[in-house]
Formats: sequence, C-alpha cells, structure tokens
Amino acid sequence: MRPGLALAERVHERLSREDLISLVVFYPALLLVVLALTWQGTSGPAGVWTPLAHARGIALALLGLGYGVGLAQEAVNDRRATAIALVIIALLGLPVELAALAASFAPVPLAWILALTPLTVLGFMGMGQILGALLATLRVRALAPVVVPAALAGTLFLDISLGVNLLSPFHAATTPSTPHLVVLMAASLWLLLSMWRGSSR
Amino acid sequence: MARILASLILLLSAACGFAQREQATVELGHSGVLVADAWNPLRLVVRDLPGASLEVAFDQGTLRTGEIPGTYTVSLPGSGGVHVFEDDLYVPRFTSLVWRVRQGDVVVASGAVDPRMVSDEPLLLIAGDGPSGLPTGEELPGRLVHVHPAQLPGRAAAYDPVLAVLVDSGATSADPAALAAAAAAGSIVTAMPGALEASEGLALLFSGSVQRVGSGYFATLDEAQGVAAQLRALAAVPEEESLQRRIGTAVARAISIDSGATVPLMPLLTIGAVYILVSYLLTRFGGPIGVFSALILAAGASFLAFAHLRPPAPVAVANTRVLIGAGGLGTEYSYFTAISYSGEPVTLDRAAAPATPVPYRGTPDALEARLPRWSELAFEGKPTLATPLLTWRDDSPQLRGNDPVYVVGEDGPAGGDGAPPAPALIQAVAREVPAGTALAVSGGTVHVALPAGGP
Repeated sequence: MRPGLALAERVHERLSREDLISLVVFYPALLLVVLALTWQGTSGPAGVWTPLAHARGIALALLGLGYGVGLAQEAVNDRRATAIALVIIALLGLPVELAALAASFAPVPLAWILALTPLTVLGFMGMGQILGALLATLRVRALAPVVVPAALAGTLFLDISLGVNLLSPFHAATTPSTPHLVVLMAASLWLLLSMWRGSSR
Repeated sequence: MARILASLILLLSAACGFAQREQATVELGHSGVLVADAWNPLRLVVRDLPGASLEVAFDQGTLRTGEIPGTYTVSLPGSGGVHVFEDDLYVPRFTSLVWRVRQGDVVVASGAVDPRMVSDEPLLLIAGDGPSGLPTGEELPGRLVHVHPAQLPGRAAAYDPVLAVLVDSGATSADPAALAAAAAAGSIVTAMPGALEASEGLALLFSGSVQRVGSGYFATLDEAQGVAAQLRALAAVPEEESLQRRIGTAVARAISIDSGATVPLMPLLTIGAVYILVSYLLTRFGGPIGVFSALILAAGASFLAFAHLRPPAPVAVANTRVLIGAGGLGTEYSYFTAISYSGEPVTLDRAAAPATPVPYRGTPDALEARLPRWSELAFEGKPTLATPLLTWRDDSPQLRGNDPVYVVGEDGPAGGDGAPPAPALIQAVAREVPAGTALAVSGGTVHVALPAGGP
C-alpha cells in the first residue's frame, strides 16, 4: 500500500475508535448548543460569536493538551494519525464557527479563524507532548487529568499577568494576536518535527 | 531718537495685534444665544486667511459616560480676501464647546461657550432696528433675543430653536424671504402693526389674522389686546415637542431596520443537526474516502453558512424624507435610521444630528458617526426649504403624481374611493398631525399638507 493511503487508512481507523468518533459528534454539537443558547440571549445574533469562540478555543486547547500528554505512550504512526484526526475534528466544527462569525458580523478576520482552528489543536498538542514528557520525568503521570486543565488555566493567568496574548486560547478567540500565532506555529512545528524524528529513528 | 523708534515699534505691534484679532470672527446662535438639542445659525467671517478652516468641538459626555466628542469642521476657499460663511450647526447638550479658526497648524482665533449659558428653551426673536417697543414686565413665551432685522437668516434650519419671530415697529429692513423661511420651519411669525404700515413687502405677507405657512404661522397682532398675551396664546403648544420632532420620532420608529438574522434559529439548528449526523456517518462508515467527503462537506457548509448568514453590508442606513407644507411653502426633514453590524463608522451624505450622544464628525454636508456594534440609532437631517408637492386647493388635497392621498380624520387616515389601506408610514405620521391634514407617500417622501387655521 502506498504510504499516503496507509496514513489515510490509519487516520480513519483512529477516528473510528470510540474516543474520537464521539468527538466527531460532541465537538460540533457543543458549538451548536452554545450558538443556540447565545442566539436566544438579549443580544441576539450580535452576541453569538464571543461565547462560541471562547468555547471553541477552550475545547480545542483541552483536546490538544490532553491527547498531547498521552502521545508518548503511542506508536509513531498512531501519533500522526491522532494528530491528523484531531485536526479533522476541529475542521468539522468550522461550519458552526463561521455561521456564528457571519451572523454576528464580529470584527475578526476570516483568515484568522481559518488559521487558528487547526493551529490551536496542533500547537496545544505540541505543548501537551512537552507537558507529558515533564510528567513522565517527574514520575507523576497519574496527575495528568489534573495538570491538563491546570496548565490551560495557567496560560490564562500568564497572559493576564504579562498583558500580552501569548498562550491563552481564550483571548485569541476574539482578537487576532501575532505572538499567539507565533507560539502556536512553533509548538505545531515542534510536534511535527518530533514525529518525523520518531519515524526516522 | 531711540525712544521714538521704540514707541513706533510698540505702536506697530499693537496695530498688528489688533488686525490679527479681527482676522476671524465667529458667531454661534441668534445674537450669540445658543439653544441645546437644536440647529443653531453659524456665521464665520475671515479676512485674508487663505485656506483657513473652522473646527467646533463639543464634548457631549457626562461624568458617567466619559468624553463623547463631536466635531464640526468647515474648510474655507484657498483665496485671500474676505470670506463670509453661513451655515446651521446642530448643537447637542454639551459639557464643553470650543471653536478654533486655523490656518495650517496656526490657530488664528478661538473661543468657548459656557454650557451653563445654554438651555433648551426656545427663542422669541425680536427683530427691530432700535430698542423694542414691547411693554416691559410682561411674561413673554420663550427666551427673548433681540436681532437686527437684516440679520435674520433665510434658512429653515436656523429657525429650529425659534418659537416665534416678532417684527417690531419700524423694522423695515426685515427680509420677507427670511420671515417666510421662519414660518416654513415652524415658527410663529408676527409683526407689530407699525411694521406693517411702514413696509409694503411685510404687509403682503400678513394677509389674514392667522395664516398657516409651512409648519408655522404668520399672525398679526392687535396692540389693543396686549402683545404679550397674544404671543402667549399663539405659542401655547400643548405638546412639549414640536410637530416636526414628533413626526421625526414616529418616522424613525416606522423605518426601524430589522436587525434580526437572515435565517431563523430553528431551521439553522435543524440544518446543523443534520450536518453533524451526516459527517458522523461519513467518518464512521465511509472509510478514508468518507473522512475526505466529511471534510469536503465541512468546507461546503462553511462557505454556505458564511455567505448566507452575513448581513449584506457592514452598515445599513434607511432614509425617509418628510415634506411639511402649507400656504405654498414647505420644509423638508430627513430622517435616517442606521445600524453598524461591524462597528464601522456610519456615513451620511448630508448634515445630520444623532438622536442620542455618539462620537461624530460633521461637515456642512456630511456626517460620520461611530455607533456601538449592532446598535440602531436615528439621525435627523438638517431641515431645508422646499416647495410642497401636496397642497390644499378648494378644500381638496392635490398631489403632483398619481399616488393615493389620505386625509386624517377621527378614525385615522382615509383615502379616496378605491385607495388602498394607508401604509404603516402614513399611519405612524397620522397619529402626530392635526385632523384634516392630508398625507401621501411618493418616491420615498412623506408629503404632509397641514390644514388651514390657527394653532
């Protein structure tokens, strides 16, 4: 089998597993529920974008960090398949995101949304991989379910204390930020390089 | 010798300083009296200041809201000599008003108006050449302001803050066109019998005791009955707001922009649920091709959602004109309703006043206002004189054109035989005008022909 087809097969196989196939439904459904609840609020369609963008940013960051922490335990091929599957899940939520962005006429560039969605998953997955390695070194992997949301909260507090949107997906959801984009791209690159190095070994 | 030279230099500098002060003069309001929340006359005279500009800056904010700036800017021609510029400026309630005449970066003249000196009480203009012959000690309606008859402006907007104009005895230089503009704009224009005897032109204007012109009146006074008492009777308007303001509020409500979404929520949720189900089935059971198809579906759905749910333009503006006329004269009022979906500035191609304080930049013929996202705001355009197209002739309303005409009765507006039911805009205006008023909608303009008779 050609390598590309084999990877596609592996991605499909990974997506069909119980954890990720649930996310194929849950993630867009979560966004749809947020859209419905805020649409009926006092602001109407005008107010749908900000809560949805925050929900999207937090959900994708948690998914990225969570799966990133566990990457070390997977085989190299599975790592790639998991990363691509998570990006596909993130992209499946795009129609709901763009519906909210269009209906609210939020002052956020379309290109920022299109770039941020896959980069948030990949970038936080890369950060999660580093976090997983740290937990493994400290022999406290059992604390991963607690450390992942704590790390996300840490990004929020760090950005607030620095006054710059560097790591927090919460702030980046509504305001484009070059430092955040650079951090996400660097973390994504780190993830891809680590996978490439893993396969070459 | 040195002392003489020093004295000469001192004299020359003083003379230059005097000339500098006289290079630009600005007069705001009638004889310098401003009325808040109204269009006020502005007169700017500059001498030998090519390329000069005037900026009037307001702060409409309060302690609670903070600063809400509003500016009015006008650029004068680049040639030298004397330039006289007259316009009407909307003066909101302000906490500070500063004006500056600039030539390049140099401020040539400047001034300020104390907000405590400004109120929203309308004016009673006494147009006379000399001291007024009005009896003192009597209570007159409005704030009394004396103006020279020749200084009465000929623009409708200048009379927005004017309740009544009284032409005093001997005021022969009053321009009949200016008085007609005052009446057309809604003021009560009266004249002392002495003034009518002295000027044939004025006598022609005041043909009856009370005559409706535009949305105001021409009325003659009988000195035997007491001038102040008659003025109070004429100015006794039961409502707080003027007729044109009440019509404006009604029109703004009627032309409110539907800011709702282009697609209702329930169909959107149904489509979303079907999309999630289809993408699940494709991903779960379609193999690698199914995953690819789900991505194609996501791309197509994203494009459709973005294209169909986005409002057609970042800013929406609705505009309706109302032409109020009677006695062959009328005034056109423009009412705008604007909504900024994206927070972009709202630009209007004529001078206008926002109904509530927002930051704005105005010029003699345009306005740019900053509105919060998705908030709707009404604007009132600067009133202008116009020839009424709907008039009363032999107790019958006549409209140029074929649109149906409605006459306001006790049961609301009624059209003639075969006329369709009155549109919402006519019904909205009909609630604000006196019975017997004729109304019509033609080419985006509501025509109002008020009935004859006194206030």
